[in-house]
Amino acid sequence: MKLSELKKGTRAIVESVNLEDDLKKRFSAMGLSPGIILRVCRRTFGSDSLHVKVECSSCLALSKTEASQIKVTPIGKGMCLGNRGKSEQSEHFCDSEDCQMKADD
Amino acid sequence: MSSEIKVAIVGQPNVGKSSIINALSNAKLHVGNFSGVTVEKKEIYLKRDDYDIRMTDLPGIYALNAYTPEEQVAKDFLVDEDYDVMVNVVDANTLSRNLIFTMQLLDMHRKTVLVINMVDEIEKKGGTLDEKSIEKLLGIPVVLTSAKENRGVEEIITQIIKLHNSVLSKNKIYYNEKVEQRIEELAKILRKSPHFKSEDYSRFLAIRLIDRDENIYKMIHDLPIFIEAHNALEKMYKDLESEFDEESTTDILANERAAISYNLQMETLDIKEENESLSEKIDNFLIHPIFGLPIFLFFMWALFQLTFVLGNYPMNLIDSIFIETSSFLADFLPKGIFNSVLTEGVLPAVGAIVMFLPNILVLFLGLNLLEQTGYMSRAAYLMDGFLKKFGLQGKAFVPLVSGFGCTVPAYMAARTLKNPKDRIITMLVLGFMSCGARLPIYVLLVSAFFANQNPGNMLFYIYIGGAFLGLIVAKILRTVLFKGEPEPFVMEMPPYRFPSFKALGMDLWIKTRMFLKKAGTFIAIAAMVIWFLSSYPVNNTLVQNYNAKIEQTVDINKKMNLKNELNAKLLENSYLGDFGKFIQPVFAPLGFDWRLSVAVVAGLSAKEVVVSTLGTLYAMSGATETSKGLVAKMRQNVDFKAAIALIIIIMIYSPCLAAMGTFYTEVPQWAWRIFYTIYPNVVAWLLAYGVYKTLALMGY
Ligand SMILES: Nc1nc2c(ncn2[C@@H]2O[C@H](COP(=O)(O)OP(=O)(O)OP(=O)(O)O)[C@@H](O)[C@H]2O)c(=O)[nH]1
Ligand SMILES: [Mg+2]
Repeated sequence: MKLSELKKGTRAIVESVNLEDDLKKRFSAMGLSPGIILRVCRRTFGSDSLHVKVECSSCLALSKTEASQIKVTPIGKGMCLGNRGKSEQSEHFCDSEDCQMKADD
Repeated sequence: MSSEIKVAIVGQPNVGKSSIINALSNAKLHVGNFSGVTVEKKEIYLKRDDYDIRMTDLPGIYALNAYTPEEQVAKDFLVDEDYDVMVNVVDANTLSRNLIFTMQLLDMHRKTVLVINMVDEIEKKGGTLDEKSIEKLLGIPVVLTSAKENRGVEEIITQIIKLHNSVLSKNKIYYNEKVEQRIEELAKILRKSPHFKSEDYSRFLAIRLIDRDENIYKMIHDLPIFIEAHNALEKMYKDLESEFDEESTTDILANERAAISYNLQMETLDIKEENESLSEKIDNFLIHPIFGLPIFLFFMWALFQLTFVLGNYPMNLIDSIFIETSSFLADFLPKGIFNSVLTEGVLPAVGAIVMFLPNILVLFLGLNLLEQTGYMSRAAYLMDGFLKKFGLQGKAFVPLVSGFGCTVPAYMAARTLKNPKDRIITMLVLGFMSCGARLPIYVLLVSAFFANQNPGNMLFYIYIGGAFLGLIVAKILRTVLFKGEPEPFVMEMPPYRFPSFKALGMDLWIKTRMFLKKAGTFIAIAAMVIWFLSSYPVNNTLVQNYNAKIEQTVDINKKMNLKNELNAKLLENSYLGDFGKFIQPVFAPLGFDWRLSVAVVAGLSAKEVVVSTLGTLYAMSGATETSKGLVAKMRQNVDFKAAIALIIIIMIYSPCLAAMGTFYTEVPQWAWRIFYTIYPNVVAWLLAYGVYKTLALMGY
């Protein structure tokens, strides 16, 4: 369902952000990207703008137009900040002296 | 011998970059609890041991893909400018999100210190942060700080110096192997160009290109290697996107970085998410769907009430101090030009404006609280829907409301708007937001003409009325000149923070000092100019005629009247009188006499000059009744309709020279500059004339 239709207080996981590239990057840098858990705290009178709490991160204010382009799936309880990475940590950090990229198995 | 270290302070908005610099030095950078406080780079010098440290505070930036003009300032600095050490400040409360940006910075592979700020807030929530693990995992020094409690900040300097004196350590962050392969491939191509010989730099550019960074793409556009790089890049986009089953390589990199940051946070930060934080409880009330807007309006109303009521107490005291001083000096100093310049020109002018300092301070305190507490972005959220009706959006609220303080920084704050049309509309109507310097004129006129109504209400109506007019003009501009939708509204809402009394006090003190300095220099000099222009040339025959008449008269009152008549005539025949009468036809339809006309025109230099000029002109024409304050004189000399017309003119016509200069530097197009210079004055005159005529018809 659309983020703009999400009931107040319901937690949901972001499925996709269907906005133009610039804006999508912006949302992602502000902590709102696919895989993230969020919840709508409130709307303004007339529902023009939403107050959204991104879990384990900040609150965002955004307007209905953009929220209607964000797809979410409501969930019950869940862990903070959806575990989004497919990759394992060991792939990214290199501790050995002469650091070589580790093979991807 | 001392050596210089150039340091760039970079991080996402509102993480406390400016606060940290303030804590490290005696700088007084502007700080506020919302994104986009700093909108231009500022250099601060520090001296530690043998090092001259030159720190550049940059505007906050969410990601290396700059979105808004002020972010572009930061990005350009990071990519193009020369600096030795980068200090990346992150907010412990939103660690993993901040670290995503850190990953992008680490791609540059430069000497970097990671500063995790706001640890006091983490501790309050009962959390702990293991900075040693982060240090180990990222391979860069990590410092925990609280700029608020002045903790840990000196350690930043220690680390900067240490890094400066050591070799750059190895990069420890790697992306997925498939991505790394492409990065290396592209970097190799880039290195064929003499511009990108450096291993690190070419790797960084390659990553940026795979991340679809348009600035960097443009940068390589004109190079001989472009075709080769472009073709390779296109293939990489296609291959990577299908290999990872993602829409865009940007998403692939974003996922990679997010995974690393998330893991980092999980490993190092131990904290429980609160059920309902204090901020949320406050929000339930302050930005309530129904009561939110009325509460906001109530705050504004209360602010103007306080501005008038609190400001009024010291006002009479300051007024009488200046009047007493000038009449004492008038008798004490030898008669002559100096005496007259001082007691008729400078002191009444400076006094007339300084007596409004308390009002201005109350207004500034209110605006400062709006900035410091975190209510600013909430108000923007509340106003978003309303502003959309006028072709603007919630983010425009920040520059607009800053305009109530001073128009100059408000023009700068418009940099936080991405869409150029939004920006220009906002800047064109910003003048309608009456700045603090216009407050004295309003207080003066309201005290003189609305004393028996509630003057605070009048102030509120004037400010809100001006804002409303501005929005109507914005709507017209949007429909006629700048068709299109405003940019999408998205803004971070930081937690509420209790402002420190020290910071509030410091801010007011800075404002006071600046104001007094302006009064003592610019306004004093302007007053001198006004005095000279209005005292010369002296018509000697007129003086002799009147002196003869005065001598023959016995009655004291008649003598007074003759003296006043003489003064008035002399003033009328002065240079300024001539000028006043020359421009008066323009203002005559509004019921202004030549003095009001002169004051309005002089107000184009700075709005304080309106009141100070009135102070001088009325002091001179009635030199024998200095004991009567300016308020009373205005009431005597200006008619009600003209006073209202004056309020409207002041509300709308061009702001001061400083503001106009800022507009010119921020807006390069001549067409807009010319439009901006003319239209407010035309609108102001027409509206004032309309209201004047209407009032006349109503029998005032
Ligand atoms: N509790 C707490 N608050 C802090 C700390 N450091 C800064 N703040 C507050 O955080 C807010 C943002 O501080 P700024 O220094 O303006 O942040 P900035 O990074 O310069 O922000 P921009 O210029 O908008 O990018 C202000 O309200 C500060 O008072 C800290 O260590 N602890
Ligand atoms: Mg700042």
